[in-house]
Amino acid sequence: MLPSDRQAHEILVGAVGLKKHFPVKGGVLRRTIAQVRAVDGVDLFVRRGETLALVGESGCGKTTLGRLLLRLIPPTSGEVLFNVPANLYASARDRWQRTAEEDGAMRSPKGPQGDGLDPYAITRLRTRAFKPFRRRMQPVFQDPFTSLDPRMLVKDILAEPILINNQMTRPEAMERVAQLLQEVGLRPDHLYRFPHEFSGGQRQRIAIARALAPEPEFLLLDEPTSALDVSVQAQILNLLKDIQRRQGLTYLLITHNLSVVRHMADRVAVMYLGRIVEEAPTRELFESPLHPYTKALLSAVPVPDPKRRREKILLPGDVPSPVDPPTGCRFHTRCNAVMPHCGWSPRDAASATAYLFDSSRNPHASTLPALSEVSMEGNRLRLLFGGSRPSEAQRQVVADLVRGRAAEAGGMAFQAIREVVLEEGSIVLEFPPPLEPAWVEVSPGHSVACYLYPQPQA
Amino acid sequence: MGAHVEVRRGIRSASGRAELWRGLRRRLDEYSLTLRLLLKRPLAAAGLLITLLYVGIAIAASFLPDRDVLQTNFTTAYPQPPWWWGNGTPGSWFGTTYPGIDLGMAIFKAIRIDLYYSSIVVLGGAIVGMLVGLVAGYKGGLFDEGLMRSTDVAYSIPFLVFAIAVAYVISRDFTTLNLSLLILWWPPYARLVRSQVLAVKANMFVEAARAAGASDLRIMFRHILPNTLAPVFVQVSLDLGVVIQIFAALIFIGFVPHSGYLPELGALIFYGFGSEPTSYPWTILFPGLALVIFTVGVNLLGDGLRDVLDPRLRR
Amino acid sequence: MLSVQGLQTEFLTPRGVIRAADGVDFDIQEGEVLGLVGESGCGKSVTALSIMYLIPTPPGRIASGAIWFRGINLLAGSENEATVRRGLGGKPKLVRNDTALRRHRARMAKIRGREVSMIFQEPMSSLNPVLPVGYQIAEVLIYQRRKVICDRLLARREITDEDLELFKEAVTHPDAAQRERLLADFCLQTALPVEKVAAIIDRSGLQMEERLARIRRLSERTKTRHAWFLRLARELDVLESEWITREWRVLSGVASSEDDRRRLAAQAQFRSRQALFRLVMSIPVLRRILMRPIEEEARRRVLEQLKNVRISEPHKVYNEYPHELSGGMQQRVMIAMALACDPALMIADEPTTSLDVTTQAQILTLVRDLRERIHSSILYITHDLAVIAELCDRVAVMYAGKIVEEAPVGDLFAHPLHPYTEGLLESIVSLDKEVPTDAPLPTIAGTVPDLLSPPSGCRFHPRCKYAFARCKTEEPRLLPQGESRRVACFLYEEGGSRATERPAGA
Repeated sequence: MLPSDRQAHEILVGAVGLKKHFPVKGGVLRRTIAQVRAVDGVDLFVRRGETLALVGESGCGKTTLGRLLLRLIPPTSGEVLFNVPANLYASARDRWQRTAEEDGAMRSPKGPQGDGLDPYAITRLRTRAFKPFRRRMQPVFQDPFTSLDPRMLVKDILAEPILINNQMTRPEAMERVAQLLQEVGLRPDHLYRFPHEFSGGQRQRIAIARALAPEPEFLLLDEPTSALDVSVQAQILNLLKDIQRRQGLTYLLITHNLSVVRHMADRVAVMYLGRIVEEAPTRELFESPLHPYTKALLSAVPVPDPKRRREKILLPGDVPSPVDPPTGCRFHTRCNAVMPHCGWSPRDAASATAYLFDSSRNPHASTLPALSEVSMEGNRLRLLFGGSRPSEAQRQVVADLVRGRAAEAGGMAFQAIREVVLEEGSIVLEFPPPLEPAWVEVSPGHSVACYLYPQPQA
Repeated sequence: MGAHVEVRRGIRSASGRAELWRGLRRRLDEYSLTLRLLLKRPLAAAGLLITLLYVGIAIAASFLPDRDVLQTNFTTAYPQPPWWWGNGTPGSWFGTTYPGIDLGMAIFKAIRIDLYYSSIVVLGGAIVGMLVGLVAGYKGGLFDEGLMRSTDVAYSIPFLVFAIAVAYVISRDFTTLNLSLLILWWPPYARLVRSQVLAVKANMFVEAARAAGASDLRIMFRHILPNTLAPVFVQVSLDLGVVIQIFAALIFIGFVPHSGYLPELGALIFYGFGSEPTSYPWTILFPGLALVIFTVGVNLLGDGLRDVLDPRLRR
Repeated sequence: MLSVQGLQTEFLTPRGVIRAADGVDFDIQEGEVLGLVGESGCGKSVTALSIMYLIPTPPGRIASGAIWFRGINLLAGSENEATVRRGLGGKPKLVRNDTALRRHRARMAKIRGREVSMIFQEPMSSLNPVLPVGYQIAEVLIYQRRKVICDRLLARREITDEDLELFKEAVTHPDAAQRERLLADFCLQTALPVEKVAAIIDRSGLQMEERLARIRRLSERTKTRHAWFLRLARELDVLESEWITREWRVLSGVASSEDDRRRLAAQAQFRSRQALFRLVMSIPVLRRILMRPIEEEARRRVLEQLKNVRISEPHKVYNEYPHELSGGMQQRVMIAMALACDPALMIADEPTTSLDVTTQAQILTLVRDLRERIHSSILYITHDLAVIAELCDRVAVMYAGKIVEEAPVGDLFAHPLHPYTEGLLESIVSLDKEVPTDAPLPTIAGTVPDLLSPPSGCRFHPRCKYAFARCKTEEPRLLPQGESRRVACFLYEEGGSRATERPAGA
C-alpha cells in the first residue's frame, strides 16, 4: 500500500494538463488522417466530499474526461492525481503549465519520476499497481439498459465488484449485496432477477448499488438521470444525495441538464470543445455567470412557468468539429460578445476575401488586378494578384477595403487583421498570433477563460 | 462469544448454499422459458423432437452388439424387402441391404457414427471459432486484422477439394476427414462471434466491469461470451445438418475405404447403389430418408432457436 | 379542428394485449398549440401515430374511437382492417383485412403530409439516408402540392428591372449567407431555375453587364411552356382531393346527397384525366420534358422553406445528405418538410429531446416564431413540462393511456388539479426553483404501471397520496371543471373533497 492510501487528503481527484486525442483512420492503409481532440488540456480538481458538476453539450468531451479520470482509457498527455494534498496539486498544475509551454508535445510520464507526485499520480502506475485504486473510484452510466449485463442475475452483478476487490468470502459478499440493495431502495427478492425485469429507474438503482459495492470514495455519475422520466429522476437524485450524506462520498456529476446541477452540485465546471471555460461555486455560477457560453447555456434552459420568460441568448450555428477546433478562444465563432482579439484566424476570413476583392462585385476593388490566389500561412493570409506585383497604392486600397469590410456586420474577422503588408509580390493580411485566453480567477473559486476579463500580464 | 460466531458462520454457509441454489433455479427458469417458447412453435417443436430422437438413437445404438448383423448365408446376402413391402421378410422392418445386413439395425448404428463425427467437427469448429473470434473482437488491432484475413483465406478454399487433397497427402480415414473439415469449419464461427463481440463490447456493462477491476479474461468469458452465444447455438444446429451430409457424401464417393461393411449412411446408400437400386429401392430409400429427416429436423430447430433467442421476442 | 374521441389503440404482444391508448379524448382548435405531456410509455406517441394512421399492423390496431378532422372522421372506413380473433389454444391473433387496409392507407396518404404532418424525435430515422435532403422535401411537394406548383408556373411572368436589382444585390453582397438568401428570393420571384442562377452568380471575374445579359437569356429560355400539361396536372390534383374528401364524408356519415353526387362526378372525371396523364408519363422523354418545370418549381419552394426554418445556406443544405447535417440541422430540415405543404395540423413528437439545450432553444424559438407566421395548429408531444410552458396554449396530461387533465397552460401551472399533475410539477428540478440543497426533492412514489395489467379503477391510485376506496374500484371520467378545464379525478366529482373548490382562473 502506498503511504497516501491511509491519509485522506483534501483533493480527491485532480487532473493536470489532461488531453485525449482519438485518431481518425482513413484510406486504404487505415492510416491516421486526423485527431479528434476530445479533451484538450484540462485542469480540474474535485475536493473530498463535494459534488463537482461538469456541464457541456454533447460532443464537448465531458464523458471522455470522466473516463480519463477513472483511467478507463489512457490519456494522450497529462496526469490524473488521486487523493492529493491541495498544495501539491497546485504546484503540479503550475509546473505542468510551464513545461507544456516550453514543450508543446509533452507526453504523460510513465513510472516514478521522483518529483513528489509519484504516490498520487495514478496515470504513472502499471495496470497491476493501479488495481487497488480501481475500487476507490466507480462509475454510474447514463443508460441503465446497456450498463447491466443482461445474462447475469442482480446478485451476481452486485457481488462481482465485491469479490474482485475486497477480501470477502462469498457468503459475506452476499450479505453485503443484500444490504446494498436495501440501501438503494430495492427489495431482497429482487436479487434473483435479471435486469430486464426492472424498469429504467430500478435499473439505475441497481447500477448505483453496483458502483457502491466495492466501497468507493469517488463516484463518477455520467448523466445518471437523463434516460429517466421526470418523476423517477427526482427519486434517483434524492437517493444519490442521501447516499452521499451517509457515506461521505465525492461525486463528479457529468450532465447537460443544468437544473439537476443546481440541485446537486457544490461547484460547477463548464466545458466547451474539450476545454473548461468556467468554473465556479454553483450558486455563483447561476447568479453571475461570466463566460458568454455559460450565459447562453443558462438562458437556453426552458422555464417551467408560462408566466415567466427568460431572454434567450441564441448561439448561431453548431458546435465546430473537435477535429479542427477554432484557434484562440474556441468559442469565438459563436460568441455574442466576441472581440477582434479573441483568436480570429485567416480561415475565418478566407472565403469572404475572394468576394471582397472581386472587382465586378465590389467597385472599390476595380483598381486592383484580378485576384488569383488566396493562401493561408499560419496567422497570415496571402493574396496573389495574377502575375502583377502590387504597388504601395494598391496595398492602401486593400487596407481600405479591409477596414471597410471590418465595419460591416459580420466583419469581426477583418477587425482582427493587424496589418496589411506588401511582401514578395503579394499582399499579406496579418492576424494576431492565436492565443488562448488565460485562466483567470475573478473571485475566490470562480475562474473563467475569456478575454472579457482582465488577463494577467505576460 | 465464540459459540455465537460459530453459529453465525453456520447460518452463513447455509444461506450461501441457498443463495447458489436459488440463483441456479432462477437460471433454470429462464432456460425452461426458452424451451416453452420453442415448444409453442409447431415446426420448431418438431425439429427438437427429431433431433432428440436421433440423439436417443445414437445413444441406444452404442449398446447394440457390434457384429451380429452380417449374414453368413450367401443366399440371403441379397437385399430382402421389409415385411410390409409385398412378399417381404417377416420380422424385418426395414429389409436388408447388400452384404446381408439388416437395414434397420445398420441405420441405427450409422446414425451413431455420423452424429458422433459431425458433432466433433461442428462443436470443435464452434469452440475454436468462438475463442478466435472472442480474442480478435476484444483485442482488436493487428491481431484482429491477421486473424480475420486468415479466415478470409480459409473461406476461399472449397471443401470437398480440400478434404480430398488432404486425404491424398495424409491418409484416407475418419481422423483425417475430421481434421480437414475442422480446419475449414471454424472461420465462419470466428467471424460470427467477432461481430457479436464488437456489438457487445460497446455496451456500458463492459466498461462498468472494467471499472470494477475485472481482468480481461473475466470480461471476455464472463461478460462478453455469454452474450454472444445465441447465434452460435443457431449456427451449430444448422451446421449439424450440413456436416452430416458432407460426411455421407465423402464416404459415398469412397473417401474412407471400407472393404465389406461400414455402418455409415453414405456407405449404406453406396451399398444400395451397388445392388441394383431399381430392383431393391428400399436399400437407398431408408438411409437417404434418415439423412433427409435429420437435416430437416436440425434446420427447423435452428430456425426456431433463432426466433426464440431473439431478445426482442422474449421481453 | 381536430377532435379525438375515445381513441383506443392496442398492441398484441406475446405476453398479452397492451392498450397503449385507452379512450383518449381531446380537441385542438384552429391555430392552437396543444401540449400533450406524459412519461414514457403513457401512450402519447401512440396517440400521435394513431392520428397519422402510422400504427404498424400487426401488432397494433386502432380498436375504437373517432378522429374528427375538419368535418371528416379519419378513422371512418378503417373499422374492419384488423380484428382480434382467438387463435389456437385461445391465444389472441390479429387478422388483417388487406384490401380495406390498402384503401384506407391510400386515403390517408392524401391527408398525411398535406393536411397533417409529423416531426419525429429521431430525424435521422425519418429521412432517407441515400438521398439529398432537399430532394426528399421536393418529392413530398411534387406529390402533395401539385396544384400550388402548377398555379405558380402558370402565373409566371417576364423578368422586370426590379428583379434585376435584386439579382445585382445577390451578386455583390459581401456576406455568403446573405447572398444565399438573396439568391433564393430572386429565384422565387422570377421562377428561374436555382442552379443556373447560382452558376451565373458564382462565376468570378465576370462583369456585371455580362451577368445581367445571361440572366435575361435564361429567363427567355425558361418561359412557361406546355401549359396544357400543367393544367392537366393541376386538375388531376384538385379532382382527386375532391372525390376523396367527399368519399370520406360519406364514410363518416355526414355527407349530404349533394356530396354523394359530386363525389361520383369528380371520381369519373378524375379517372378519365388520370388515363391521359398516365399515358403521357409512361413515355420517358415526354415525362422528363414535362415534369422538369414542376420539379424546378418544387425546388424553389423547398429553398424558400429551408430559409423559413432559418437555415443560413439553403442552397448548400439542399444538396446535403442527412448524415452530413448536425442534429439541430436535421430537425430543422424535418420541420421544413413538415411545413412544406402548409399543413393544417403539425404533430411534433419530442422534437427536441435528443438535442442539446442551446440547440433546443434555437428550435423552440423557431417553432414559436413559425406559429405566428403560419396558421397551423400544433400538437406538441413531450415529457418536458418546461418546454410545454414555453410553447403551448393548452396542455393535456396523459397517464397510463388516458388523459387525466386538460387545461390552459397558465392555469395548469398555477393550479394543477389532478394529483398526478401536481406531483409532476413538484418533481421538476428547475433552475429557478430555489430548493434548500439538503431537502430531498418532492417525488411521486412508485413507478409507471405496466399497461399489460393496469391497476383497477383510477390508474394513478397506487401512487396517489389522496387515494380513497372509490379510486380502486371505479374509473373516474374526464369531466369539465370550470369553464376551460377538464379533469379525471374523484376529488372533483360530486362528493369529492375538492368538489366545491373553484381553482383560480378556471
